[in-house]
Amino acid sequence: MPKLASANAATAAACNLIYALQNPHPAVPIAPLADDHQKGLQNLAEIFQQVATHPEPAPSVRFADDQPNLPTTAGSPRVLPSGTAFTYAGATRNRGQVRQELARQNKQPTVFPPKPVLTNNRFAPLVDDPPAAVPKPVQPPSCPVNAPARHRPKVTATPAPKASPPTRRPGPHRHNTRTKQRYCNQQRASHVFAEPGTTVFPEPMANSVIDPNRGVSLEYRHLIKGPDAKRWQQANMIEINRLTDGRLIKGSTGTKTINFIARSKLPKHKKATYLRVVSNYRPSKADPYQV
Amino acid sequence: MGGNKIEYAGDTSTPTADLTTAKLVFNSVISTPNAEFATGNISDLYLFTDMDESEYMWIPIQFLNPEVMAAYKLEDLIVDGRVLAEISKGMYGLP
Repeated sequence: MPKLASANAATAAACNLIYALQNPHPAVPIAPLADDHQKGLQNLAEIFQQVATHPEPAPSVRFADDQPNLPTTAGSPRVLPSGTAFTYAGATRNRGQVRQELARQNKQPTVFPPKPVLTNNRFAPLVDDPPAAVPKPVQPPSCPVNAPARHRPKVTATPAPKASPPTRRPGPHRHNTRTKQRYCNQQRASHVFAEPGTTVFPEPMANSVIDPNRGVSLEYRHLIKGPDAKRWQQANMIEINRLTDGRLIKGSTGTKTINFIARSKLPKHKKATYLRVVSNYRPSKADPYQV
Repeated sequence: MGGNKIEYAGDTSTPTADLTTAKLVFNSVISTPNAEFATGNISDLYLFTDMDESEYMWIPIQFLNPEVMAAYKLEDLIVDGRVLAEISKGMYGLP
């Protein structure tokens, strides 16, 4: 069975399109075609008919003089007859070679289109972007160059709009300061609705004890005045017992890290530092009161 | 204690096991059939580490319990409401 040629298929499709538009199906309400539309479609069908019956030759090669052996492209141009020695010059020579060859033949070189500029965009825009508006430079006021300096108007450059500094919040302080107190106040608001009689511990914070009633961080000097003062003092005594020789608690052995001395024994080249007591509540410990 | 007030010229680092040693141990454990691995913790390691030079610290007496004051007889050592302590081993806050 013979196959339908592509040209015949295109012509038949155009004819079918015209027929379909001129005779719409009753179930499909299509507005009747205007006369100019019908005329345009008819011209389109005729164009298809002409192309199918009289195909035009393929576009000429850029360097026609360089390809004397190029056969005519009438008929099927894709497949060359067997035995035809054909080499496309443009495919084997670069631009420099073409220019040199044209220079030998005293010919004007062909102006090649500029190379496309590769950009980082994966897909190039289909439509060229309109040129961006170029801001006009600020023109200083007109002034004769030879005029004395004192008569020249003072040129003041327009200050550039000052960029707003990036908003940056200060980092939390390493010690229990106002930064943590602000956080504690936020935590206190969430504890207002806690059941009475229950101790609610807020989110864990390093080296701090939070008052569940007021929501503020407490230092050791505050804790020894609170309801759990005895427990905190006991924890402090355990820590001092660990640092000293362990005479405070029977059966314990201290590390002898510190030793109480008189002020007269302080070397002159030494400067005594200060004490900082860090207290923390560690529920996971056997004794949660840690100093 | 406040380590920011101390100018210690000695070595303030503590040598520990390097990565090669740890890898050797792990590789030996997983390469030995029926091997068992255990870890340990040395309590108060730094508190037992002697320093080349002692440091000193003032302790306000409000941080010392009456039991501590009595056990070490600190009443005679009070100067302006503080007691001087000599630090001869590693302690929290040292540089």
